[in-house]
Amino acid sequence: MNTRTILTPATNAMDSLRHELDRLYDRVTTPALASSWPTRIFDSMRSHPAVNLLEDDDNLYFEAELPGVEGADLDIRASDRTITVSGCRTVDTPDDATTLRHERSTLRFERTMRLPVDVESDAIDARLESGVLTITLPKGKPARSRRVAVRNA
Amino acid sequence: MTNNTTNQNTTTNFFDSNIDTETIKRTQNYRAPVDVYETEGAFRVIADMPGTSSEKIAISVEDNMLTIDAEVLDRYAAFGKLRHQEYGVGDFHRSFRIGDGIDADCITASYRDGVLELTLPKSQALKPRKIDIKAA
Repeated sequence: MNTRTILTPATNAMDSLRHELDRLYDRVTTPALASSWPTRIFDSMRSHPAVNLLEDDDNLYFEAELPGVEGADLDIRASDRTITVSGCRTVDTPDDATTLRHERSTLRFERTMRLPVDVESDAIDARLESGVLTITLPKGKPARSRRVAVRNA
Repeated sequence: MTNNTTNQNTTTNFFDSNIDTETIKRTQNYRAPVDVYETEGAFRVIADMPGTSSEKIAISVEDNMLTIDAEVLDRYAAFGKLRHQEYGVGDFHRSFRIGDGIDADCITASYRDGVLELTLPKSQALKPRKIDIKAA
């Protein structure tokens, strides 16, 4: 019996292509990206890891998906206006194993991002949970919105 | 004054518009990348599925199809606005045709650091057999 046919992905090459196009379509149809569309696509192909940046009144949140990466393999550096995340993950091939399919990449990555506002670089917090890295960057004082009370004369 | 107006001149375009995070999680499924290995006694499937948990992963075998569905937690609900997006967030799905060669009752799975690992033991029919020669 030919064991090579045992684990055949039910998805085929067209599904794979469709997936890539879906992800691309997300980017193209995301209003935030539409204005700078062509360069963004190629930027993100070069840049690992891909980053989503979120914001609330007090913080920026830098998020990246890094499955299989451990905290010890990560190096995070920040200044007031930039953050750099670098590291690696290794994909171990089990001993005495034949590789039937290889889609996950061995990843060495480095990403520097310029931040939209100043942050307090000495108060940054990073969490890695289920392969998702979330770095909380407290906004510097001038960047926070403040409610100004009006005094009666 | 809102935070939107605190952007300074050095900020590039893609930071300028904000999107409500409620719309971020996609209804579509994403295809998780996998590695598949074969050893003498088993197949191993290793899949990158960040952002889920072992309770949210469903693995089933039916009609010779192995199906993996992982529900990704809607982790953006607690945040404010998405300032910049390079990847979509949605549930993961993968399926594989498996022949009769796998002992479906003995499949084991673990989830750690966003990586799902399945071990699918081969059924007796697939395992290499060593034939003992009896002494005369």
